[in-house]
This record gives sequence, structure tokens and C-alpha cells, in this order.
Amino acid sequence: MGIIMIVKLMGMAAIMAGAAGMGIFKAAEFGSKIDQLVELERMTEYFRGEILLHHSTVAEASADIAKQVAQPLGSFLKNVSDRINRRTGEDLRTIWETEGEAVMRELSMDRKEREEFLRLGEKLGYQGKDMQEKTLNRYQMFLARKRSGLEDEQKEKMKLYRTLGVLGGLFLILLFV
Amino acid sequence: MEKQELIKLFPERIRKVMGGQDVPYEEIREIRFRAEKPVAMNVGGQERLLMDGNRLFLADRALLKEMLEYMSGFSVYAFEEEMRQGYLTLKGGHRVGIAGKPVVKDGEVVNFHYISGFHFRISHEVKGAGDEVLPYLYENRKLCNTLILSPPGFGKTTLLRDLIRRISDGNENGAGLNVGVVDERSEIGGAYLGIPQNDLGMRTDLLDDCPKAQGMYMLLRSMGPQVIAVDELGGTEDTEAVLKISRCGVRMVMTAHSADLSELLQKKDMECLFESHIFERLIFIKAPMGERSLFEVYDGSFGKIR
Repeated sequence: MGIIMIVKLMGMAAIMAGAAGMGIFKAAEFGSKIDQLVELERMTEYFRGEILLHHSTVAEASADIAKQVAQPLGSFLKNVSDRINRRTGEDLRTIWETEGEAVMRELSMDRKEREEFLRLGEKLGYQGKDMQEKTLNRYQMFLARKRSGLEDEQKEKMKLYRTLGVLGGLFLILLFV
Repeated sequence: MEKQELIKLFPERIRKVMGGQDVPYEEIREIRFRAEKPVAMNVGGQERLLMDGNRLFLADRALLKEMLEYMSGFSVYAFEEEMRQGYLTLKGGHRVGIAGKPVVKDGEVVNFHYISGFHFRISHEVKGAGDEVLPYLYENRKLCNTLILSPPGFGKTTLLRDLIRRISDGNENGAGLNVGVVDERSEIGGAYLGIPQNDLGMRTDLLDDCPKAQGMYMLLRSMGPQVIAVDELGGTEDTEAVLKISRCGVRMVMTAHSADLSELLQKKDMECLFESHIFERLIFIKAPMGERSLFEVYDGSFGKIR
């Protein structure tokens, strides 16, 4: 086998690896989004425990949960807690919305995700425990549905991206060879 | 209470109005909000109506709802137990009575459907309120079982609170003692989410929002108090608990409603306490606490000491 053939084979391998890597990278993007949803689910679950079991106020619960969740949720919850405790006269909806802007941006939330996230802030702390439970259940169900949909999509798209990557690589090889 | 602190009790919508009143804010004792009615303040014993410029300010239902959410730190659920009793205790120890349509479940109030009014009682911690009577509470540097008596509104709780602090910290009449306080209506400690907002002294343990008799037994079993303090003693359950506790060597400082000795001796539920000579000191507050305080002090045999 001549050196030219070896170089060609190495080129083919590099194109194939690059194309497959593109597929894996796209699939990893799904994984990251799913991780974010899992973190939001964890936050909601912590709120459930703090509010329904310990009867903590929203400020207390937010301060405690801030230490247990990843960024940017941690900073967001700490800021919410601090602003409630400062007794500025603002309502929770305003506090949640203004502090949540960075979270919604960093987590690249789509329109529906933003709506549900803001709705949680609007309803949290409003009325009795039953209402709290309903609000938290509703958000948790939304997150679970979203995650489940993404996981299914991830499986399908991963196959698709990998296959497209490989096929794209073969196409390029044929084109160049 | 300072103006800025008072304003912090209210949501944004009403702050400007609350802050724009031509009144001495430190003399505001009560504020009453009623749906669609003017807001009335008790300023140094005088009624003043809340003004929005030249017009009377009316509290609408939406404001009352907003106030409840704000006062509870957007956590109404966390105050359900207090709301069942018809009030909320705010940070700073201020108490807010609630009127409206209660939700009744199995014969018990569990929440409120509609809120129609609030009654703010601004907490006034008066350090030094007990200075004048404190020496009479001790005999040979030993604290005497003491019952503080007066008609409502004369400042029994204010006096009790200050005495608890002095007894707990220690004073020129005796060393500091471990004091257990059962605060059934959060009026002594003014606890907000379990933390006393008033200074009850360095050796004081507080059972907040707890029935008196049950609380006294709990303290005795768990906290090893040298003194137990409760407000507004009344009913056979309370007096039986006091009798039992007195046999354990714990000192007691308590209050009850009564204008004078003859009224006190007519109280059937208290009879057993006086027959057993539980209390060694009876302190009658003869005029509302204020610029001029007036006390009468009796010993356990009803002999007047002062």
C-alpha cells in the first residue's frame, strides 16, 4: 500500500470521526437540556418538602434550597429570599420575575417553559397548603412531561444525528476520493 | 415604633399613604383596616383616620388580600395554625387580628374564605416597666411565686415580659434563673416563626403558640426551668397545672384578669391556688401603664406590702 493510499485512509477516518462527532455533539445538547430540567425538578421537589412538610415560608425555603441546587438556580433562589426578607413592599410575582430573568435566559427556556416558570412564582405562597401542592404538582408534571418528551426525542435524534454524521462522512469521502 | 419600621409592615400600594400621615408614628398603638371603610389608627389613645391627601383612604378588598399575602411573606400556608386562632404574628412581634368569613371544617376554623378586616396591634416592648415592682418579687434573694393582676388593657403582659427579662438575666435582687415561658397567644415573646422578637432574657426558653397547661408540663419535663411564666391564667386546667408544678419546686410568675382583691377572691377556679397559698406575691396594676404607673403589692396572706 502506497503512502498516498495511507493518507487517503487517514483522511477518510478523520472525515468519518468528525461527522460522527457532530452527531454526538448535537445529541449532547439534548443531554444538557435534560439535566437542566432535572435540576428544576429537584428544586420543585425541595420546595414540596420545605412547604408541605416543614411549613417553611417561601423566603426560608428558597434560602435553604439555594444551597442544594446548581447554578444559576442557586443564585436566583438566594436573591428571591433576600428580596422578600428586605420587605421592599414588592409582591412575589415581581420579585420572581425580575430575579428569574437571568435564569430563563441562561437555561434557554422556550416560551412555554418561561410561562410555567413564571406561573410557579405567581402562585407559590398563595393561599393554603392545598393550593401549594397543586401549584407544585402542576409545575412538576410540566417538567416531567417536557423531560420525557426530550428523552424520547433524544433517542430518535441521536440515532438520526449519528446516521447523518456517518452518511455525511461517506458522502464527503466519495466526493473527495 | 419608628416610621420606617411601621411602613415596612405594608405592601407597596399603601406605603406612600401610610408614610404621609401627620401623626407621631412612635405613638401608633393600633391600626384597623375594614373593607370599604376608612382606616382608623389609635395614636396615643386618640383615633385618627388615615388620609390620602385631603381624602379619607378606604381599604378595598383587593388591598386586604394583598396585605395578607405580604404580611405572611407570601406564605399564608405557614401561618395556618395562627390563622385558626384568628391572628398573625409579624416580624417585630406585632399582632394582626383577622376578621372575615372563616372556613369551618368539622366544627373548627381552618382558614378564611374572605378577609374583611385587620386589626394591627403594634408591639410595645417597654424595658424598665418592671423596675418599680421587681424588688417586691424577691425575699432573701429568692424569687417569690408571683401573680400579676389587672383589668384588660392595663399592661399585665408588658410588665410580665419585662420581669421575665430581668429574672432571666439576673438583677440586683437575685441571680439569673432559667425561665420557661408558655406563650399561648404569642403576646409575651411576639414570636415570628418561632423566634421571639421581644427580649425575654438570656436564660429564657419559649414555647410559642402552645396551650398553657400542656406547655407548662412540657417545659417541666424537657427544659428543667427554675421559673415558669405564663400570661392570663384561667380555667381549672391551668390552675391544676400550676398546683402540680408548684410541688416540683419551680418558681412561677403569672398574670390573670382581676381589678382588685375582692374580685380575685370570687374566682372559683383560682380558689384552690389561694387555699394552698401558692402565690407569695400579688401585684395589682391600678392604672394603665404609661407615664404614671400605680401598683399595689400583697403577700400570700393578702397583707398589703405596698
